[in-house]
Amino acid sequence: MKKHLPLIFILLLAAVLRFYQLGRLPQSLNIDELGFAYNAYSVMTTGHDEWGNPFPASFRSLGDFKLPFHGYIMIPSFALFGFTPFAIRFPVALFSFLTVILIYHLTNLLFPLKSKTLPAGRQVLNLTSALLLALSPWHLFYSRFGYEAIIQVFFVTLHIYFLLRFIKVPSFRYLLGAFFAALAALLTYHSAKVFLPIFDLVFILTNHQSFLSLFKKNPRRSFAFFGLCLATAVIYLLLYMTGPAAERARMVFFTLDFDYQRILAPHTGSSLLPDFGPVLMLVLFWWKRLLEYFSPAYFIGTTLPLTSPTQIGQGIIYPIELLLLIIGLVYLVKDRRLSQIILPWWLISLLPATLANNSQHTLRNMVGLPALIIIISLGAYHCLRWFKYKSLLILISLYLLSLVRFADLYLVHQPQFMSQYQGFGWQQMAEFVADAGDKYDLIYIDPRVGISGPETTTVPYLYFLYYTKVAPKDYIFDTRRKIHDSNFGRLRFEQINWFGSNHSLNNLYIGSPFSFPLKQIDPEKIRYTVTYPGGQTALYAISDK
Amino acid sequence: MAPNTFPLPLEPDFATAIIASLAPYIIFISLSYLLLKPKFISWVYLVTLPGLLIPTVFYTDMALTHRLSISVLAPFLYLAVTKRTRATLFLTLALIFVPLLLIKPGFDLPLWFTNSLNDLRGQHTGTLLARLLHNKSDLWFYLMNNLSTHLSPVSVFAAHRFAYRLQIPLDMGVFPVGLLYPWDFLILLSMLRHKLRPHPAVLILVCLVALNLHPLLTQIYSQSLIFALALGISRFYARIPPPFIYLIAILLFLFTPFILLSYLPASNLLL
Repeated sequence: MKKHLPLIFILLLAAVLRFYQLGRLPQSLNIDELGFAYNAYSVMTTGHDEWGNPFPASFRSLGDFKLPFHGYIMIPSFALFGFTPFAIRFPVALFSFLTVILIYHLTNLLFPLKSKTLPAGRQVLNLTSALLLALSPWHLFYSRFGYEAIIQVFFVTLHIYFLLRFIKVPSFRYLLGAFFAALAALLTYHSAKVFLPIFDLVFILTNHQSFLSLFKKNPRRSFAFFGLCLATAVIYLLLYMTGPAAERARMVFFTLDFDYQRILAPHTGSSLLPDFGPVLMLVLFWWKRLLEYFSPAYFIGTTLPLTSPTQIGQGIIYPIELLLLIIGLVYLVKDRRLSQIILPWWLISLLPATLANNSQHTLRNMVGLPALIIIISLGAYHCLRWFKYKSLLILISLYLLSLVRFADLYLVHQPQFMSQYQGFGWQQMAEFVADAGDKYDLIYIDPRVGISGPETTTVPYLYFLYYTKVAPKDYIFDTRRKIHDSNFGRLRFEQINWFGSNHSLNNLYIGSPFSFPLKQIDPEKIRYTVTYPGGQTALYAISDK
Repeated sequence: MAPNTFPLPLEPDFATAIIASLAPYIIFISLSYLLLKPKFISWVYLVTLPGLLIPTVFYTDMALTHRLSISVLAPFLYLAVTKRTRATLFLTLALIFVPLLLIKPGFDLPLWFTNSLNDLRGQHTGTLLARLLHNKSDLWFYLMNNLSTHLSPVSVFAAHRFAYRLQIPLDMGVFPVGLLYPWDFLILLSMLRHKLRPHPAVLILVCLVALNLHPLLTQIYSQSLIFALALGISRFYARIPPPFIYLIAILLFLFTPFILLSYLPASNLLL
């Protein structure tokens, strides 16, 4: 028991950081969380998603055809905790917690008990990696927001864990374990579609002897397993890589990137560049996108959306961890066996993000997080060996300071900087409509929000569905709801044209300060306002009378 | 941000302007020749370096310190690392510090940084915690930001910042052409892997000195560091077998339109 105390402490810490006040912090549910939640709730109660599709293979939701695992895994959570914000976020937080346990066991498999490079043994290293993942700002931030990429990280780590077990003891049960873990990852988040085939190919090539020995030992079962993989791949390709389900990939492909379209694409037809120009331009643009993931600013600059991009903020790792990452990398490349697993894991994880639009995306390459944590742990392990007491104290103090800084950004600054982008205000306004909405004939809701201008167009109908407790069967079969539209009941979601509207009626208008000519409106008509945590007005509800 | 401390009075006479612009470029190539005695392919490489080709020749409003830093300091940095004699080290350090004394750089923080600190402080209800957390210790963030802008792999190998220096925000590092060629990244990795001279420890030391001076000098010496690296890479070019030389020559040829094109958006905006 005494031996396991450090691990128990780390797991307790991980659990507290992931589950404490999960339903309330972050303050508001975001569109993705609600999109999954309402569809899952709809399937749970009616057997159909919000578009009326029975038990869908992918959720059409906002037109992004979400992969199904996260949605379906919410159903048991709703059965346990009800249709609450905590229940919506619980599955992701749970898988996040399980990843901390998994990385501990994975590190056990990766490192030998004792070696020349690990004189203190792997015990310190596996605890360090579990601790660093438990405290990782990247992992923590997205775990509490209920992003499905966290579930994918768990399954990819499990997949690699089973592969490593297979290399140690070539057995079909480990291959089957790896197969099902990969399938779950592929059904969870789009990045796995790029990452897993390439990583597995690299893994098979570097460890082909284990696969060959199993094939020679049991060819019949090997063929059966190969057939299973092939059949699954064909079904998966038909379901998720073609037709409308492939829409998401088309929506975010890197040729649609803002910079590419605005500056680079117009030059591809230039006389300076003959036929090969567009291809070369694309290759170079992709190269640039790739290198952006090696910039110090990506690791420790403002990459996590805790503050706005022009502010001092938080990167995917703590500043002190960048030093440990460099040290870890030096030791990693010295170990051929280890670098054949960890380096491809990290580098291939960057591919999905580089093939999509937006630079330095922190979700699409998240599958590489455990690899990064293992490299940092390796760096930390060697620092622990090198440094004497006083130097070590300085290192730990710097780490603690980074933690305090992250907590400050997360708890104090994030609500003030980012609430306008995270759907803040719609909950309060939906609750107001649930109480007082019956007094009005129609309620118009403007989806544009923002502090300095109507910068963001949100999807408020999901908030109104959730917080006004509209039963999915009523919403799905509402005759007033048109195709491609989300209107239901007395609610109309469209941009408000105050001067073009007939104000002799009994309607209510909900919108940001930019939706109304406030100086020309009688203050008595303002029925309700919601303010952002920073004190600025987020939304007004203004009636005709 | 860039202190154009010694702007050349170039406007009156275009011919003088061109000569003044070409001079540092010629100095760089001549010094490189003296140091390296390069083969033809190394010559081609150095002469066509994306970052050198157009900005130093045609962007006539660039600060003299910046031009000199590329043309003179780069070869001396290279020399200080490879030859490692006291004389070269002394000369290099003098080249770094004398302009520093001449410029007398201030220690003022940039506006965005102080604004950001004030924003963060203002969001706290109590002042004590705000002062403890958001103070000049966050200067590391500014240093890191500078480092990322000018010396990160993406700015060196895939997105030049000359447009940024010329304050053309629309084209800030968008065009995928760096200060060195994309394939130099692989050459550099290979050089580091095989632990070629210069000795890594000394290289790191010189880099650290230059990087620490970086926030004071803002942008002046970072380019020198890169071109010192370019000199090392060009030495590698001279040693590659002939088939690869043809490959490199083809790559250089293919890349030329990109180098030229990368300055078109900037020049359009300049007009």
